[in-house]
Amino acid sequence: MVRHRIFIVLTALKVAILIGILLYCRGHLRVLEGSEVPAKRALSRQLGLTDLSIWTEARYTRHPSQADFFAPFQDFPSSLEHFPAGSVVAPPRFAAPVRTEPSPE
Amino acid sequence: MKEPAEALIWTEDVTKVYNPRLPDEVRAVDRVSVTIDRGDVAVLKGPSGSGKTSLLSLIGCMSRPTSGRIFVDGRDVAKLSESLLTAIRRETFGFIFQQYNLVPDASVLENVLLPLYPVGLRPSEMKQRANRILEGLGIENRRRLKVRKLSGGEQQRVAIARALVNEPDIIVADEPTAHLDRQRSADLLRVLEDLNMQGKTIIIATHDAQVYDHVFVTRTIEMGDGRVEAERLS
Amino acid sequence: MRRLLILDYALSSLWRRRYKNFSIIAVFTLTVAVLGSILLLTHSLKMEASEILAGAPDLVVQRMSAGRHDLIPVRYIEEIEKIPGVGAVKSRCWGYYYDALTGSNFTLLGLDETATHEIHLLEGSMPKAEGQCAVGPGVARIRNVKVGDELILIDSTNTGVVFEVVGTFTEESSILTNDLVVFPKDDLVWFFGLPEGRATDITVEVFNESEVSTVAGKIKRMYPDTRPITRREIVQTYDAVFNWRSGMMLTVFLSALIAFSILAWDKATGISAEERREVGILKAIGWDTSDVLELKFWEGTVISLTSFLLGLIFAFVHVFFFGAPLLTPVLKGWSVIFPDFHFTPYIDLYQIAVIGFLTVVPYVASTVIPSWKTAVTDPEEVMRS
Ligand SMILES: Nc1ncnc2c1ncn2[C@@H]1O[C@H](COP(=O)(O)OP(=O)(O)OP(=O)(O)O)[C@@H](O)[C@H]1O
Ligand SMILES: [Mg+2]
Repeated sequence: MVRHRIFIVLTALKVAILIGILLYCRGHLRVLEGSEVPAKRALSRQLGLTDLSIWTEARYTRHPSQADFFAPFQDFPSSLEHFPAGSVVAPPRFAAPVRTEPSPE
Repeated sequence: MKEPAEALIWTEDVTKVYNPRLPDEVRAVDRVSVTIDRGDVAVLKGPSGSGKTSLLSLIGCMSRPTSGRIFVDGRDVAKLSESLLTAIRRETFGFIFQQYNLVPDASVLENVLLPLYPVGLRPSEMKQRANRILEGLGIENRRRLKVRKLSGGEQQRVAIARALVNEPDIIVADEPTAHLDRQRSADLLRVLEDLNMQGKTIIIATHDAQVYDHVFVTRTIEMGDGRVEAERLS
Repeated sequence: MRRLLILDYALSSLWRRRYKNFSIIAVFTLTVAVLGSILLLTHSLKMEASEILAGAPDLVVQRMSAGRHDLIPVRYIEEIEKIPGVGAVKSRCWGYYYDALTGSNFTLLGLDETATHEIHLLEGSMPKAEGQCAVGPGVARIRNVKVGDELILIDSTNTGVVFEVVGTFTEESSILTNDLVVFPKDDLVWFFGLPEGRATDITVEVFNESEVSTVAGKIKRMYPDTRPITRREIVQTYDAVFNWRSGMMLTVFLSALIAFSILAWDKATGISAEERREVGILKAIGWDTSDVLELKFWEGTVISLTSFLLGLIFAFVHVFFFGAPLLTPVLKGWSVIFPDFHFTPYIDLYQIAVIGFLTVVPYVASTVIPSWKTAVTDPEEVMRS
């Protein structure tokens, strides 16, 4: 008849570990938000960086936000392509129609 | 015939039809009216297929009759809801099945405790009860063993212990000696006799002469083809 | 008390089939861990992108020519500057460099003299004089250079050019700077042989956030061959990039989910004869239908809750403490230079609740529902079995 106690204790332990991790992450995030995050934001501003340096295999994966919007072939962000990273990059959905047609004044 | 309220079990024209209105319709129990009193040792006797098990399960509230009335301890069980029926099964009856119907991979103690889980007793009390009964049956040293590892006779005793743990008024046994040799059968009958002495009503379905010819039998109900052919008091 | 007793029985009945149940917990935990890792990772990157790229230029103006990105005439700046609400307008010079030595691609960036030279996350200094450069951690690693070393790059005339490394960006900045090589602007123009009066693109500062798209529209009308990209679009791109519904991640996610569904389906349809018999016995000796269903509910809950919590713990540790080593290969693709991720622990509790809901509930349902039918039948059957 102690089985349910063991289960409850183990479950509580897991929940406690999770909460511990969450609190730690939160604290760590606070620290980062006070130091690293603003520093990186500043760096992006100072160097005028528009993209994250994650995929370095093609132009449109290195700078997905700057990818040529009209280029019909490999550079077209939604083309069938052969770079694996492209499979995590969806074509950008641009909200503003400014680039496709000039709106009348 | 007695009034329904006086007898412990009282049936009137109970009928059980399996697969009604189908080509393979079976009238397993056909207009059976029997009475069993408190303290009886009643034997249901008859050839294979005569409807003994079907009648037992009707009396034991395991199934509902197609027609007719059944009173257990003054209550018309045919009208009770599913959960009340379950409660009666739990509180009034202790079942010893032909195949024992134990959970083979659970321990002896766990098997005996099974009927107590839905009751909501304190765990210490549950264990106390189970141990007392296991001791009475002489298998308390097997408590921790898996049922699968026990001999047939020991398994039967576990089945008896489980039937007793809820302190029922009525013990129902379906062919309890079918798998036992003469010696073991005699042991079992002694246990049942003891229980009867303690005031429990016992209902046995059997076609074993060792059982129905035993002196403690107070009532014999002979069945054939789903009907009661003879009812004797002794 | 009753409830706890039934939980107790559920635990003992799970323990009786422990090999089967532990393997289910293992698979289930793995599923949650994979799913959780993907969601934690993409959410972290998405947040990181929107936080960091808040520093990106308000507007980037590219020139399109023959359907491709082309160099933009610097003289466009003068006209753009005249648009009301526009602040600093600057040309940017940058480009790509294929490093045949290592088979990797670098991003070369020319820095204006006017750019701030006090820069965070940099060891050493920014290049100030001709022939100097600062490199990102990925470049430093793959070319094995540090401050004070020389970096030789091949220019457009196929001549080796020696640069002195005066600064390296720190690991913490690698998500932005990993493949960067930064030069003074003149060096870059000369290195790439860019034509006079042309730049890669133009950045535009817009004072009022709400006017950005108006300004973009004006630029587009002024110079129909341009393509203005707003910062909002940049951030949106990364939202889409890391959107958990897209791409490879979904494939991984789906296959995990499918494997798990097969398991659950197997369980759902395959309530074994043994289990059915046990349910029959329980009913015969006085368990109510609701007691049996409660038992099954507990069985499902114990397994799924245990797996969910364990899986989630694994996911957190995997992503935030170890940098998701099992997932980064999927992310990496063919990149030769790839950052060492230190995921910033942005956590979306709602997302976690969704994982919980999508795993625990179906599992519990798939344990309870199939036993329903057995639980409601008359227990008479067990008398004949
Ligand atoms: N679920 C069912 N569906 C159809 N027929 C059934 C069902 N259960 C029992 N029967 C039939 O009812 C009749 C009576 O069966 P029952 O098991 O009550 O006999 P019995 O006297 O206990 O026999 P035995 O001595 O062999 O145990 C049999 O002919 C059997 O085939
Ligand atoms: Mg029978």
